[in-house]
Amino acid sequence: MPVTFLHTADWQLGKPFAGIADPQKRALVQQERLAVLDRIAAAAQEGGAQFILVAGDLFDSPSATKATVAAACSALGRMAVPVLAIPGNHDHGGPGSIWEQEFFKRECAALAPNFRILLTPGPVELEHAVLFPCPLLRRAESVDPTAWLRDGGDFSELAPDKARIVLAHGSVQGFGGSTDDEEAPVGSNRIDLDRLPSGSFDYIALGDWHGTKAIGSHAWYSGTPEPDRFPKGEANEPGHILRVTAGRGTLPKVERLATARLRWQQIQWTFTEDSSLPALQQALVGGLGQQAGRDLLRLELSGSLGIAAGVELQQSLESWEARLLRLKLTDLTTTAPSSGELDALTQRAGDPLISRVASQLAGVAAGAGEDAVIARLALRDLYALVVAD
Amino acid sequence: MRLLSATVRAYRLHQETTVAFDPHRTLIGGRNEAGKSTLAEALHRALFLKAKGNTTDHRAMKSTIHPGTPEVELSFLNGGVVYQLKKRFGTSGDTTLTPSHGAALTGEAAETELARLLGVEAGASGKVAVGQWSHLWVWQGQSGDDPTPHATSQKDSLLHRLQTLGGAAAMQSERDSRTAAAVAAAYEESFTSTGKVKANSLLAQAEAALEAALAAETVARSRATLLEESVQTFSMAGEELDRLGRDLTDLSAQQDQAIRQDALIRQRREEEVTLINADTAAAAGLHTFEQQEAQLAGIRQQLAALASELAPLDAATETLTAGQDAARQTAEAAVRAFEAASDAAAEARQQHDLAQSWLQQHETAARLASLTQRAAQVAEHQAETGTLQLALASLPPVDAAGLAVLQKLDTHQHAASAALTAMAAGLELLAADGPVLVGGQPLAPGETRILTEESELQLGTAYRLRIRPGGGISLAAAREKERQARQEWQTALEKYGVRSLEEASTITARRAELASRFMSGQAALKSLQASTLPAALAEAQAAHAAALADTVRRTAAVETAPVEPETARVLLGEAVRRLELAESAVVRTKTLRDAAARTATESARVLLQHQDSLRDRHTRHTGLLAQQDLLITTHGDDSTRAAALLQARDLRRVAAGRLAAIRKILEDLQPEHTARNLQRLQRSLDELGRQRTGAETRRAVAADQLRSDGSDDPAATLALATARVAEATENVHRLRRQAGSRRLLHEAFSAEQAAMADRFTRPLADCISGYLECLFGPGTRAAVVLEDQAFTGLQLIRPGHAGGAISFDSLSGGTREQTAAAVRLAMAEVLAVSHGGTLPVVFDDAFAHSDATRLRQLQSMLDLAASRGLQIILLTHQPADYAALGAVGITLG
Repeated sequence: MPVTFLHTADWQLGKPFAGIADPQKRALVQQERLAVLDRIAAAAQEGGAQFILVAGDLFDSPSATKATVAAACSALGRMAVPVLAIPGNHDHGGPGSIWEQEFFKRECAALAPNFRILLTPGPVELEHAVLFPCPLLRRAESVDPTAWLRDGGDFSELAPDKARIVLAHGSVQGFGGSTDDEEAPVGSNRIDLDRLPSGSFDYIALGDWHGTKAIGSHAWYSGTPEPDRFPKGEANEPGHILRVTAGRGTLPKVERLATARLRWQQIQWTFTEDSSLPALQQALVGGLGQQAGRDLLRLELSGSLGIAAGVELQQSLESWEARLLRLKLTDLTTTAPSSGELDALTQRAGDPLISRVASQLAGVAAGAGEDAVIARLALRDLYALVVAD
Repeated sequence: MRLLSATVRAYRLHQETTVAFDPHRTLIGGRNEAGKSTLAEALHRALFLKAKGNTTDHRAMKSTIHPGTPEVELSFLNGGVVYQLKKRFGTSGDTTLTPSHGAALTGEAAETELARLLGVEAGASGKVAVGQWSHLWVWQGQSGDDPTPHATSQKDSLLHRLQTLGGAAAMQSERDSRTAAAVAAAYEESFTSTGKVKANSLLAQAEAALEAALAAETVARSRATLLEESVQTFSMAGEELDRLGRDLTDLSAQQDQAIRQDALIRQRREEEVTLINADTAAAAGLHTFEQQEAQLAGIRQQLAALASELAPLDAATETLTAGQDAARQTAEAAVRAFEAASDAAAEARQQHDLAQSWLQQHETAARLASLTQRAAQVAEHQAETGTLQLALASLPPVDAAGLAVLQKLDTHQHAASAALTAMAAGLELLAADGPVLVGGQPLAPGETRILTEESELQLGTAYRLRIRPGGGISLAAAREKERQARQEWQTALEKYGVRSLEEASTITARRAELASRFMSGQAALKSLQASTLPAALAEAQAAHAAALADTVRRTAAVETAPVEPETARVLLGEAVRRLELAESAVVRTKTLRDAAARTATESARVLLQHQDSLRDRHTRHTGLLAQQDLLITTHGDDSTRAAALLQARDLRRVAAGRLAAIRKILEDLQPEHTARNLQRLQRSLDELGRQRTGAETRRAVAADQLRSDGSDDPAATLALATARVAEATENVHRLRRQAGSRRLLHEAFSAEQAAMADRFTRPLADCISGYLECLFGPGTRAAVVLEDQAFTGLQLIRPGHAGGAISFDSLSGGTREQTAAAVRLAMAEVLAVSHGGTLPVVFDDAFAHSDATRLRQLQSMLDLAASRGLQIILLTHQPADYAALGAVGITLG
């Protein structure tokens, strides 16, 4: 008998988002990771899911705080259906893990009696399905966590008509295991799906890769329901959960449900002349709109601008930084005086001192290296003083 | 502008003084208090102080000795026009300025025109007026002051001139100045005056924030690392505990088995002890029996041996006894032969001794006779020498030496008497009828008397005459000398016991003869050995008496002694030969006797020893028989004992077999190996126990570390701390660039300002250097800085002087006033163009600290200034010092 459930993973609750300097914005982004849980609960309700599977990394850390745990348990409790999860590499079930902490157990018992963490590799029989959890008990396992499914496992005693669902967390054939560029790299946990006995399992719910992706006909990465990093490549499609209908011996039916609210975007822009600055402004408005508190942007700037345009760009960036939840800026723009600006500094017959100094600085600024950068800054400052006078 | 002449009236000590100035060089001399400084002041006041006024300066001009209002008339050339300036100072003062070709101006108009001509602000009074042209008026006592403030006071004119002289040199604009000030202000926000980052600057704050962020990150990383390590530790400790549990179980099983084996070994060991005791007892019983048998066998063996020894010993006893008797008889015969030989020898010795005694008697008798004869000769000689000695002793003791003395004194006496007689008066009584006394001594007629001294001559009783011989004092001396000679003569006669010289001569001859004879007698006595003769005689007598007595004693047993000594000698020779033969026989028989005695003694000793040995064997034989009887009585006869011994041997064999069996069992059980195993296993268990305790402790500690209270997430804290470090690093990087920009701008502005100022002030510095070279030699330069519209930083740079540039304030007093003078002259030269090519420069005793050498160089410098168009006016109380200047001299007072 087919069973319908939700497959999700990589909630990474409690993620610090340390790259966001503003504490309030940081709190907003963190809060969105909890808010999406209610959207998952609604999806479960609406789609008739009998349970929800979380394929690892429910928490961002094996030492999550009480506040995070309490908020997570509260949200889990609101889901109304059983929630079953395995520990991933971020919240692995090793010694001292969050799953062992007393305050987690207390909060879970009080707020989320529908939640169950599966810490042991062994079949878990549900009403309409049998789960085969492959928990990670350390951050980086040296052996394939699904090994127990193929090495002499005798599952003949299990109900023959229930869908058999594997829960695993790790990378498949070098795919997966993506890390945020602001977090420390973690060891990979390799899963070799090809070695699983053919036909033994009806659906493999994978976690770790934050994009939504099918691996063959029976295995899926659900991705994270709320993106937590700037996208890498076109194939990355975060912000979804999967509604799966699986039955013993049949192909699973998988539906993607969008759950994301925050928009993590990136723009690369090269200035060819001062007049290209307004074009960037238009692109930003077009891409981000005027709504504050929803977008995060990685902006990579290059090219060259005059001093006045450079000052204008800085003012514009200050505005966008205030407006966006996060502006991650890589500014490789060279701000050097335009020929007119340079003339305005060096061709001053009435101000010989300024003229001489500007000429001297312009010579250094035309070079390369840190001295040239400092000289360009000095020219910019001098220009500002002269203009302001 | 050039001063031509001046007249000062009623101006302090000047009643009226007129001075005509040389166009180039004027030297005004005068003693102290002659009014030189007052004149310099009067010239300055006339040019710059408003005439009308009642300021301190006005009042100071008034003379206390000359009536009237202070007044100065000045004639000067300016722009080709000669001006006559007349000022009367005071509340009602007035000014008149009359150009050579124009109308006279008075009052304010004159003051205004004058100010215009001089290029100063019109209507100045007070300090401003007094300070005008201070660069050209070198007041007494102020010559060593830094002249650059005076240059600053003239900066407008100077800058105008310098800009002209500098050609392309441009001045910074107002905007330049504002921008430079803004740049400097921005720099000072970030940096201290020494170029270090300011403590409270944004950069310093950012660097401090970075430090704090790094510290926080270190703490967070430590915490996160500790957690990671704790996970590792917990896992490893768990794995170790699992392994230890397995090992402990295995070891415990091994230990149980070893303990069981050990118990079995203990049991077998107890059995072994019992069997050892049984075996020991059986062995002891067997040993007793075997000892008895061995003892009995030994006794029997000894008895047999003794019996075989006794038979030959009994036979040997008889042989030894016979030998011993023969030896004893041989010894007795030898004794007898010896005794016979001894008797014969004794007799021969008596014969020998008698013959020897006879000979001795003869020899002592002959010696006694010889000595007796010699004693008679000695007695004769002794009697003669005794007689001679008596004769010598009876003669007076005068000898040849004494005779010579007497002869000498006699001669001396006669000479003294002759001398006295020669001077004395002779008196001879030829006839007298009465007694005549001379000197109280009667003088018989016919008697003469020599008078050697004053003497009284009494002729009877009626006449008494005094006779005084002549010669005076010499007579007395002669008389004294004669008396002494006579006394010495008498003394000598008494000493030698003679009465005259002739007697002395006779006696001396007699003594010589007697003495000769005495010496001959003494020589004879000596040859006869008279001194030892009595002893020798006594000895010979005693020896002869002894010889006689010995002869008598020996003769009693033999015949009469021979009469002749020769016979006696022959007899003695025979006696000697017989004696030698007899004594040889004694020696030979004695040797034989001793050998026989030793043989007899040895035979007796051998016999005795043999008898003792034989007796001992018999005794032992008896004792062994007794022991054999006792053993048989005690332990039974031979068959009984043989049965008992067999039984004991069976018992022992059984016990030994049992013991060997249990020992084989024990050996198979490997008790030492088991003991070692037990120790090893216990050691291992203890060690594993310790390891388990350690692992449990580590796991407990790690578990405690991993136990979270949920107050924070170390991973998140570390991520945040790392992000804050990145932000702080970026901020520091940005602010460092900003500070670098500020520093670069500031340095660029400063360098350009300095370069511009240098170009601007170079004409002035070059001009100063020209004057300084007169003083300090070629290559000497001056440096002056135009900064913030003010001249400053005057420095003297002398080639070859260590330390390079010397600031003005660091110069000595003399050098300072000379350098200041050079600067003033240079300024005057630069400014002179605006005043018709010349300006007066007034030095009032301005070189008080300069020595003679430097004064000569100063005159060269002043002359150079004059040759360049300046009007040098030098006031000094020692005009002779400036004789080489070639100036027109004026003397005040």
